[in-house]
Amino acid sequence: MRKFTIFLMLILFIGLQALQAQTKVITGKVTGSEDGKTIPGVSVVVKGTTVGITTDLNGEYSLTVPEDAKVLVFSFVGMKTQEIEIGTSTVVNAIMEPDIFKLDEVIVAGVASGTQRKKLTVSVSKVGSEALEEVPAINAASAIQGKMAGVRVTNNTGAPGQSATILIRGATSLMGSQNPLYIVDGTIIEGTLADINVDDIESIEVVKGASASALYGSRAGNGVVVITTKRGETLAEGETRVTIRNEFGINQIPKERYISLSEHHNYKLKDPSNPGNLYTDFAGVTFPADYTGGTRYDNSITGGLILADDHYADNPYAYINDQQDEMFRNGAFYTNYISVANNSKNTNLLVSFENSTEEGVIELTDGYDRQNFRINVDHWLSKKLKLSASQLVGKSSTNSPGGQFMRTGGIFFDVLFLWPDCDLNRPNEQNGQPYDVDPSFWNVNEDNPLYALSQIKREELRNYMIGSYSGNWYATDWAIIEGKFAYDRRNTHYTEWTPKGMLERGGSGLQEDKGYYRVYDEDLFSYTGQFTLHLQKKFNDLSTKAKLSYLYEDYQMSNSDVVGYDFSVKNMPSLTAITGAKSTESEIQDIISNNIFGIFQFDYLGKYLADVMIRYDGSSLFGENEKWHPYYRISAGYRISEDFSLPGIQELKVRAAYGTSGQRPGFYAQYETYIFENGQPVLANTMGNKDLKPSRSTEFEVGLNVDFLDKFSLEYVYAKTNTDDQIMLAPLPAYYGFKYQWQNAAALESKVNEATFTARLIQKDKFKWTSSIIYDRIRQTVTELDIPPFQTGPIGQDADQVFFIREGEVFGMIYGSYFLRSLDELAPQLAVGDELSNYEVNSDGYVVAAGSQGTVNEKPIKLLDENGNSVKQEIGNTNPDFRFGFANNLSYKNVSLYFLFDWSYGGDVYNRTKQWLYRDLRHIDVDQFDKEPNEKKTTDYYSALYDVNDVNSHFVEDATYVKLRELSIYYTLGRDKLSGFANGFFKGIKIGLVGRNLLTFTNYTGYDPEVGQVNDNASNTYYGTSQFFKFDAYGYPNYRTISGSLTLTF
Amino acid sequence: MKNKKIIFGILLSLLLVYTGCRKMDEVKNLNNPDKVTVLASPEDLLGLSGGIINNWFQTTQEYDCIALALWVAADHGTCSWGNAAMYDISVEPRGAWNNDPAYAYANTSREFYIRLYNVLSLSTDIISQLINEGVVIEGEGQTEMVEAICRFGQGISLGYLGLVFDQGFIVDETVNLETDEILAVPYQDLIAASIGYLDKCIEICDNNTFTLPATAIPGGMVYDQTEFAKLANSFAARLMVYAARNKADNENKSTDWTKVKDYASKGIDFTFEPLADDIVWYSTYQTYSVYGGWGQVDMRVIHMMDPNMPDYFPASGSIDDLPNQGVATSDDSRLLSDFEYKAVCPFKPERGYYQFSSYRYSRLDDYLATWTEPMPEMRQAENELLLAEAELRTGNLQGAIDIINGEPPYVGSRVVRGELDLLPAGATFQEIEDAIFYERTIELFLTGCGIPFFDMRRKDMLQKGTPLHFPIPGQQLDVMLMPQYTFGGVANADGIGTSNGGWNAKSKAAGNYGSTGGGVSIFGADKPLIK
Repeated sequence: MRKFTIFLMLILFIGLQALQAQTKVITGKVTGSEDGKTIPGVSVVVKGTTVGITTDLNGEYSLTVPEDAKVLVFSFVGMKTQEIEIGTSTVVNAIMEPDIFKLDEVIVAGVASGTQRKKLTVSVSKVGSEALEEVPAINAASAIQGKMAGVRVTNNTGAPGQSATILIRGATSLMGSQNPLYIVDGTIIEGTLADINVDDIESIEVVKGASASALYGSRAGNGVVVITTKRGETLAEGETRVTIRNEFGINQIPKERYISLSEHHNYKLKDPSNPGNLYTDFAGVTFPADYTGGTRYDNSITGGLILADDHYADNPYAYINDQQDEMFRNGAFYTNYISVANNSKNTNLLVSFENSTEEGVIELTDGYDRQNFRINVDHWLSKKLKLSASQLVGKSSTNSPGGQFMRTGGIFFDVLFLWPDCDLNRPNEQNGQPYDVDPSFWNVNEDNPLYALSQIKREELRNYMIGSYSGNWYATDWAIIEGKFAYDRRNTHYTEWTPKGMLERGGSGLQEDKGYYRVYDEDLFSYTGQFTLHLQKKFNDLSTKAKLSYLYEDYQMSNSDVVGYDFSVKNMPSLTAITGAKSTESEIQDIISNNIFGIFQFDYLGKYLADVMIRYDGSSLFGENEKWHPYYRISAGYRISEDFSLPGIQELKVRAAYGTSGQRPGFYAQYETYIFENGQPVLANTMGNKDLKPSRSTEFEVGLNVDFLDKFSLEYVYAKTNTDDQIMLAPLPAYYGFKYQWQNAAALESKVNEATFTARLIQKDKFKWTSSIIYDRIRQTVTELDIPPFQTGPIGQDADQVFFIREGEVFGMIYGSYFLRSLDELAPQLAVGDELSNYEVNSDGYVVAAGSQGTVNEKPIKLLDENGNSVKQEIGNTNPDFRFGFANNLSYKNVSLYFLFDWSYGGDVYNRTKQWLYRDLRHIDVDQFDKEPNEKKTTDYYSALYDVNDVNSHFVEDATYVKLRELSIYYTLGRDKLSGFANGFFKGIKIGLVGRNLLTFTNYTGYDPEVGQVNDNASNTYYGTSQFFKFDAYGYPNYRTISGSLTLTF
Repeated sequence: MKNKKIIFGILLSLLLVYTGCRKMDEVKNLNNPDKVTVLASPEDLLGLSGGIINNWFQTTQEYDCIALALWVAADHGTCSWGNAAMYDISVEPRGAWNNDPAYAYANTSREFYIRLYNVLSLSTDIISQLINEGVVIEGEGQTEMVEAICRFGQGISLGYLGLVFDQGFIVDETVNLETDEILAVPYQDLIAASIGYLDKCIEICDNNTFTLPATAIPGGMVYDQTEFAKLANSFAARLMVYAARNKADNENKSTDWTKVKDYASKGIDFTFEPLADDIVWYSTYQTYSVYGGWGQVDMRVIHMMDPNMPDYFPASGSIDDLPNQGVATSDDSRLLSDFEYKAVCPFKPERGYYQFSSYRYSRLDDYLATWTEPMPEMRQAENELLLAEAELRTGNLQGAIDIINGEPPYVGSRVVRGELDLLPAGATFQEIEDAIFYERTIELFLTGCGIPFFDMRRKDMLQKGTPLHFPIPGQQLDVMLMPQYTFGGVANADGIGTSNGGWNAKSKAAGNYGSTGGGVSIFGADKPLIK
């Protein structure tokens, strides 16, 4: 770090020494073509140089230019860029026209330097602040949901404080992380995006595919998300703007999304006509005389339940409580944001503060709370030397639901399994604590979720600082030298507390827990130092840009984890108060990488476009013999419409790119490792691999851009990627002692079709309507696997066996047993002497024995092999057939309406939640009460479908959904309307209603078809990876948020 | 001029940037040592060897390994949950063991296999340093003690591979993994090799003086060379006796009972029971077999204590159809001290009432309450029973009777804990054998992994179709490019790899809800773990 300071000073020194050339002064005024009003903040730059300024509040500018300056370039967000000859004049005025299809929008990610969209030769999508502000997402990851083709953002958990999962053009790794590389204002983000607030964001650019991301090398195989925050420099010179935004609302789960449960059982009642009054009076059970209320646990109950003769779950309970309604509540949601931005002559700054709370929907749980402070400053030390600083400081706290065991579902499991005739709100008879821990005598394992929520506390505190500091020396009109230091520093403090005295089940009956306390601390500091030379030069009709850069990355993480059992006294969550066993672990990770790259961009006459780049990455993560790896790209584009005038077509471009990027191995992968037990390194784990390389994604993409009829714009891209040298954990013969070795041992192929269509349907003075549609379709196949085929999936509860990785197989296929659905399917496995006429297809569509419907003999039949064993095969595919996003902006006078629908068609989810519910016959499917007598099925039938939790085709569900993802209605008053109010103090007032995740249309029977699980902590688990799986097993459900918003600008 | 300045500036800046950076090769893994580091220092070998017994214990007493499956396969305990392959292996009629690497419970045998090899490999690596490299550990008897622990580790890891699997691989300090061809050998060879290692352990103990570090076997008891030798002798007796796959094997002298007698007579006069700390030492086998809602005691065992009680739960599912609502009475006082009546069975009726029971095991309840109790792995009674059987089978019936009756120095759990009548002096061979079998069933309940399974298989008592041993796990067969195979299933009952016997001639057919696949079934876990 010290060295970078010296470096910055050096730039300063040289910069101040720079020579001044002969100059003249140009002045002018910029107005808009639509309303003729002046436009403040327009950038005015001498073409081919870095000499420039922005217009002031009156839309005027005064710029000192070199004597030989020929052309001025005027640019402004949302307007077409103008180039005007200076000639001999000293006054140059400009009239700006709206840039309907954002052809002039400048992209900075994945290219040499700021490049207009129309001149892009690779795939980079951008969402600007205008779109982000319609429905400000709670964090940066959610903000791009449904807004970009090929970018799938999934809220795999509704848990407040968790970031959504972003998958760009599918996964590129079978075992490693699928996360893209995140960069905020030049800082590589090592932690979560959950803490980055959207109010500060100016734009999010997503670099898609290996060719575009080649510029980012060995960390960019999954694509790159580049976030740029707001700065004062976009304001007019001399302007100060204060923005205050307040939003208040609620988080809630709509009741129609609750999981439907059975309200009847399959046990004999003492009196079939009367289920009982205070409790369900089962036959075969003797209740004590004083037994009252629900089915609370009572040791003096004797006997056992007897199955009803007909085995139909159509017998009533004494009463029905909706346990889900007891556990879910409406949580508070609010955001308070203030920012102050200013642009003075030599300095511009933006200072902001945001406070936000999202309580979530679980009783007795605080949810997520965050405070972010930001300051962004640019200062011109001299005409040629600019210093920039961006700094975010913040903290967040997340309360996770107590009693939620990460791997077992915990409260989300219990709440569905507890019988409906028990009362969660009754106190414990043992000690009077609220929420009876064992409210149901018949649930021998399921506890009262409210009790766990009231007792166990889990809290994660995150403190973070993200900063970048750079110096830009505009050395000549063709060269900028930039030095940058950027860092991400986070502290995570996690505690988990089970209080002494909490009731728990023991061997026989309840006992008091002695308490448990866990403290996990993590300290992460990662920084980069980068030295970049930006060049741009025009040679006659050929414009060239180049960037040469050296990037140093240094990542340091350490953590410690202490667990203690048995407190000496109550209510003392402190490790100091532990009398029992304690265990302590610590970990250090240190990663150093060096990267050198160069990119050269060519633009001939603004119509023939090309770029070439090469990058060399060296990393301590690579095996000893493979320390350096190259990446490259070539791309080209041709703007046909510049050469040919095509009727009705304003812009037509074709482009192609070919390039490589990769994924680095995990920290531990190259090493020979022993794992410690009790302080001794007794477990040989992985055999080292000095030849371990990063994986390599090679992509070829072609794209077409066409804008037509002055209304419509279409971008279509086809990309094919092959990722080979996949980093895989290969099992070894056990007698080696080492279990595994990380090897480069697989390849994955992806084919992507994506399209973006925008229509400016109506553009009247008072009424405007813009509509856009994004579409993508992604297919992935494992093309090579050099280790034995293996199962994978989320960790815990044997869910890691739901997916299967095998050569030639679709990536994301669900693997399991199949229940036959037609007699044709049955024919090949019919036993000798058996007849097809002995079978029929039942009302659910399954093959069963003829005449067995409604009896205990009605059972689905599995597909069997020639030996009579169940065949395991593909039973589902989690990849959607395609996905659409449909966004609309309508405005009439001062009222605007925005809504975004997200449609995912096809693709399956494995619904383990539902399957478990078949175990205890709690799922609505099992309830036979409302069924016609000839349609009733026995519980034996449902148990056969449950099949002791075997992964089978019955629980594969279509995950098609349409979601009304975002909706906002605003009433806006601009400066002109407010000039007569409060002496013109207010420049803008915007008031409205905002909805997030408002409606879901789906046939999926779980809480949400947009569900999944991410495995974290990949380091020591065999097949554990930070991968995303579409698997539904008791996560925190997604919920909706409805709020009111008021924004004041002055 | 200007350009020169720029170039100078760039070069100087770059140089400064680069020299400010750390080098890539400075990075080390400071969390996990490699083999060279692990074995580098003679002193460290001492500490390292201290983890060997723990590693073996945690493998054999692990929920995710084979112990629970063996427990229910022997109809000793019962649990109809799919977890840990318990449902699949205890379903009636018995199906074949599913050795597909994709089987939901493949880890049950795979992890057991791999982790035992881990113990073997660590023991061998340390011995290799001592023997092949001539490393000497400071302190009198320390080098020898470390070797003794490692020989013990080699013995019990290879021994348990031999007890559970049909074949395996023998690797020790004489084998070069890089150059030698390593071929699978049958279980008899694994057992023979394991006894050889235990012999070496005993020999070292007999000729040296040392005290095991307290962490090697925690719990307050001091293991010096004498106690450790006793432990090794008992393990040798255990491995030799339990290795037999069937009655013929057991009785046609393939078990050398004279040698067993020799080992057992020098065996433990204490209970080998490491103290749990719930962090490094714990037993999920002893937890899930007794935790509320999990394992129950098979009615077969209750029937042994109270012959009036049937050996199966009534097919009606009604506890009223059991005598006295399932409350057993017995001359054996352990029925009250070690077992607990439960009027309600936690299992799913749909899975078959034959899995039901009216009793659970309660002798380990203190462990469930505190998690810091001694965990009995080998009771003193076990050694006595091994010795009694050896006396019996070598013709000394009275010697066997004396042991069972607790004549000093023996404890005689039958009399002391069970308060049962003394075996009469004229008891027949069969009566004595039955008494030994009964004691093993009741007194050794939920101690060492697989004891009832091993005991019943050598008497042809495992239900027909139960695998007598397990194939090398499917994943390992794949890795070594060996063909897949398996054991078990009524159709395959050959008495060699699959039981063709049974404990009860009246053995019930499947209940209403038996196996749906009629053979190999592939099930998933169906009960969330408690911790």
